[in-house]
Amino acid sequence: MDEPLMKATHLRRTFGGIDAVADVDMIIMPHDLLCIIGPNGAGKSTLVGVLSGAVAPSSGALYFAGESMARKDVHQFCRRGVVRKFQGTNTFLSMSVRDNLIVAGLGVASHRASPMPDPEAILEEVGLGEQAEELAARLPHGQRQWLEIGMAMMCQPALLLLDEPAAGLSANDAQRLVRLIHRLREDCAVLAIEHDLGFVRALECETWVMHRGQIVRRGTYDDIARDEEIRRIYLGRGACHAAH
Amino acid sequence: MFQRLKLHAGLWVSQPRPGSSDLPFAVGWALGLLLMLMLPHCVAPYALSTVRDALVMGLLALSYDLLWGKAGVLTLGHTTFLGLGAYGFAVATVHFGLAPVSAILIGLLCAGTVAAVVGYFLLYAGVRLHFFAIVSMAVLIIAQQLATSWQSVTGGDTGILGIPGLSATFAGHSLDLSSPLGSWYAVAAVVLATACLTWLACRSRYGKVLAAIATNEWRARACGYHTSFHLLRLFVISALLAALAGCLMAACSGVVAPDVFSPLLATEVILWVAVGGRGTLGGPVIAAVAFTLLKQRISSYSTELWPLLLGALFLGCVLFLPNGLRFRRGVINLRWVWRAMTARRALPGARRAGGGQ
Amino acid sequence: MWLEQGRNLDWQTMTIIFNILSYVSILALVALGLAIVFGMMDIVNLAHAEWVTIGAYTLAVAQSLGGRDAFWVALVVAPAVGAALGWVLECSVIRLLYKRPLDTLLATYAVSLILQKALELVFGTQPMLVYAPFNGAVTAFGATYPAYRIFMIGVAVAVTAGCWLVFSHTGFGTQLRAVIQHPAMAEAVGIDTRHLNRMAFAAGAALASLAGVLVAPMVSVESHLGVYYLGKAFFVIVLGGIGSIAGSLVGSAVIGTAETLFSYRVDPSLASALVLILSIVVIRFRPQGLIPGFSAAHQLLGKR
Repeated sequence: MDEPLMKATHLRRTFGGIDAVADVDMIIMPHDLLCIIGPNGAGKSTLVGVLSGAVAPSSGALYFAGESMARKDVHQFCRRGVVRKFQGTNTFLSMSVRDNLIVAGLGVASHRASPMPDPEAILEEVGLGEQAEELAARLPHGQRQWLEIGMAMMCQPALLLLDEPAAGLSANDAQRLVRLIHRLREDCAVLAIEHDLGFVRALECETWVMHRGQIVRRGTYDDIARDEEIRRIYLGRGACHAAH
Repeated sequence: MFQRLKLHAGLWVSQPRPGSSDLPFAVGWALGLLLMLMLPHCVAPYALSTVRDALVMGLLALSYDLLWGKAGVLTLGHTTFLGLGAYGFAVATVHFGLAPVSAILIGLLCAGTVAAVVGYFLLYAGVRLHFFAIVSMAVLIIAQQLATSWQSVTGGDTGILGIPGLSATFAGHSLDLSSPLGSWYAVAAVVLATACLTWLACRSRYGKVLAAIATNEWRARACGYHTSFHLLRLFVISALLAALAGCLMAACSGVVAPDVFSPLLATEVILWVAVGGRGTLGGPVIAAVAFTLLKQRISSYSTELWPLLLGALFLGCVLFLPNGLRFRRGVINLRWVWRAMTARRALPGARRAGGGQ
Repeated sequence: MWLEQGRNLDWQTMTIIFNILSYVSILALVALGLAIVFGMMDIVNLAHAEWVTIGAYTLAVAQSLGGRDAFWVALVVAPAVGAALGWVLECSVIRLLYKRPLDTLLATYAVSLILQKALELVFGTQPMLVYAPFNGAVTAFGATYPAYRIFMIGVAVAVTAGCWLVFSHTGFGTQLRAVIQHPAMAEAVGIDTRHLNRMAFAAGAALASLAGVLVAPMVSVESHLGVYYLGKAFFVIVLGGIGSIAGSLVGSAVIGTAETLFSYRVDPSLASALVLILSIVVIRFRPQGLIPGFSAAHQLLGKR
């Protein structure tokens, strides 16, 4: 499969004179696993917003499976397979866990006229089998993260966008998540933005660094960890002398 | 194609297993059925007509609960569609001499078109909440103005008189439902059937999707739902049900006047749903019947008292009873008490297992 | 002969322009108060238009006691009465519902119903008599136009200009603007948002009452007077742009002009219907309004 899954050229998103995303070019192939890191305010969340259709780019082009995604709404992105996992506070709070999954899966399945993934299987995979009847509002933060992942999986993604997936997860859960992401890679491409560098290292994948709206470095995590300039970007000038 | 239809039906209409939460509605519906059959034998024809008229208001309340209670779309001008249905029916039968069944379709068409147009322009622009409610109110006010000034069609202030009652013809047999007894059965049957259908629809997966859109529309869009389309469809269906109530109202009372568009009635609809319990479907119907009968009583003593009482009731309800009188609250409290009791019972066992830590 | 025809055309155009101006100026006064409260507190006050009725009834009462010249007294008293009643409403009802904006809509709707009925009970259903303080016509720009209407336009323009000045050039105005843009932040820097909200609410009510006094001699003073202006006022601010004063002025101009022009051709109710349809279509393609402000109330449109 030589066709890129997602192609972005000269993406730019400006907010009142400031470029949150400045001239980004990227290509994502199917089954890619990709992490984007960078200091606060680098524009990572905005980039994910643009890629998922939540934020319209100020200029530049975005193609998904060869189709231009200009002026398409969020639900159209989701129906084509670009699914974003939110940061855990965006589930349907007044509904049960199982209902959350059912609702998440129904839209895409109905649009594609194909059967929905089995909610029970997804519940098992994310480890929420016990909490199936529980209201989403009553879940602790960590379990709500898993619910979000389950909902994203129910949408049958071709490109899964993970927005800080390890936030609030315990070390055990983070390991489980790493295994899950590697398992998901068989079905779809995964792009994660993350602050937790230990998590990123455990993923062992291609890593990009964003700074001030631009992608300044692409490589493996180890390459990037050793790079002096990246360290300066993260920690500021005086930190070059800090021990490894 | 049939495969696709089957798949869609399987996805959307699939019902969960019957459970304890279904009991209140099922019991209420069964009681309603009993009432429909027994009441004509218990009360005089005049009283029966009064209850029948109140029941038509119950259908209106049901349509509004579907829109506000289930989908979370607040409107202040829902009675626009009641009036459009009523006037459509009246004009079709009196001016054009159509049969009642066709006239009902005309009434539905009028309301459906207006709902589709207004709904499309507003919902697809992302207008929700307050402003949607206000535009609906503006539409109502303008509908009232038009009904009063467009004399040639609507009969102006006096309205349209002499509307024939319900009747239906199939296969050469005609069924006259214009008598108090006939119209009672017709109206009650329609209300029961509609209530049952909407309850089944809201119980199914479709109902879950509606609830999701009502709770967190942004997240629903991110799950691939074209929420504006879903809301528009529901808005039109709700308008059609209100128009059906309007047609029944016109047919049963024989007269329609511009006061069907009064903001007072629109407020009463909101009150019925607010007091009866948003989203319960059955509660608003009961509240509508109760309040309409109450209004009859009070208006017979003094015409000024009712609007003031209504306003005060409404204000009080909004301030102090935001969720309505909920039967379910009592059940939830019972469940909580039960859980608390069973939890306490587990504790001594745990202590024993822990070895007195 | 060409000159005569030209002068006739001018006269007609000037009359139309004056009619538009007089309608727009009343609309602007009503919408201004609403815009500030809506933009600041995300509160939809459906009872706002009742203050127009209250202003009109104050004039009626004043004139029934003091004769025609009581108009000048009412011009000052009515806004004061309006402000006081607005303050009472805010303290009693609105204050309880700060966290529940949708319920405020319903509660103020209930209040408007109660007020309408109460006014009907107190003053009866027959329209009350009010008189313009002076009759006569003025010849301006080749057209003869009722002097009172010109006076009304003048007052409305002066008051609107005054509000604009307060809003943009005083400390109070700056605080108001801060609360509109970001209430939480404004509180964090020490602005007493509660107090400011109350004052803005009372000021909006006063503006509406002033509009009521001004418009009373031209319409029939009865309990449903306000209803006519309510829907229009909301259209004005949403069409014009929520949270921006300039937007509400532009919105008044657009809606006022459209409706006046339409009612030359068709029945007034049809004119209202046409303006409604026009507004809905415009909103479809520009949901943020013609001159969008920056306001917390933007979220009411469900936009993220």
